[in-house]
Amino acid sequence: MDAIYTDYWERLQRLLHGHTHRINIQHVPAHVATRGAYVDVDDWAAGWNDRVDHEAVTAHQLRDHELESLRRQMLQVYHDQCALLRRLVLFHLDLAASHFVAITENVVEKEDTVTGTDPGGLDGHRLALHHDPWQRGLPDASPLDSRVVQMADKFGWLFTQNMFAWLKGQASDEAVVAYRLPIRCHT
Amino acid sequence: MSYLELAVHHGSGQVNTKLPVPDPNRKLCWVDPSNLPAAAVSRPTVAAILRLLQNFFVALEDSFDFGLQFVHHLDLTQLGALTPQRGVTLLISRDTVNMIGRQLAAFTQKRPIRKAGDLTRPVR
Repeated sequence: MDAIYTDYWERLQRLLHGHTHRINIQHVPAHVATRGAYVDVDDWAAGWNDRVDHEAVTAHQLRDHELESLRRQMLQVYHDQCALLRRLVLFHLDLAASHFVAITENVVEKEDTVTGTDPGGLDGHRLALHHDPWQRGLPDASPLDSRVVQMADKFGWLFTQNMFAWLKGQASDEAVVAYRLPIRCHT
Repeated sequence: MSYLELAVHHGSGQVNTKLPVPDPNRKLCWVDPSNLPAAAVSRPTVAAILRLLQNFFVALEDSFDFGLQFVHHLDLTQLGALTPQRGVTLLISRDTVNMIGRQLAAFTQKRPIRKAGDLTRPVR
């Protein structure tokens, strides 16, 4: 690919993005003086390429002012749309970045939709953020901690130790999720 | 996170290879199965693990006063549990959430949870 035509190739690639059919691109010699009779395919392609170029220049010169202004307007719309899309992409990336920061700051997003018939439930539709770091405050399962001993007496030492380690491990994981809780409404 | 999801996850042996079993001599207490005669120990059902976990989190709150947020009426119908579930707000890693979802879906694949009796079988 010629470096001087890189912008054309990139533009072509953008236009063909998502195109599912096979496209064959063949390089042909350009602006070769034709000898009138084409002796091979390259000669034929070069002759017609030269003809197309001249026809294009002629057509361009014959365009009236109205058509030219319309073309410029269309180009402007195209560039405006591109600029708008670029801004939207940046906006989307900013949102994604701020969302990721919120997750790593251990924010739990919780959506509760419960009506008030249950005294332990929450009323109405809610979308709230809860900082919920209690799992990180769990102590090591030490026999010196009376609260741990109390738990171990009730549930067994091994189970208590494993549960504490699991809960702490989940909270310390970098990929902690903002866990959305779908909650069923009473009917 | 619902107790049911936690029960299926813990019943699969991912966290505890041996879950404690109810103590025959003390009410609402559990003991390591190795402390009991082999004949008295069977594979725990999901219902038994549910009971264990519910009591564990209640006892955790009683002992440490973390202010745990217990939740009700969790909708797990997409995972095959057709009855509203209770649970507790937890921080869970994304991988674990995905794994638990797969485990519960596999558990309910042949027999969805419609009534209490559907929980009286072991996870594996």
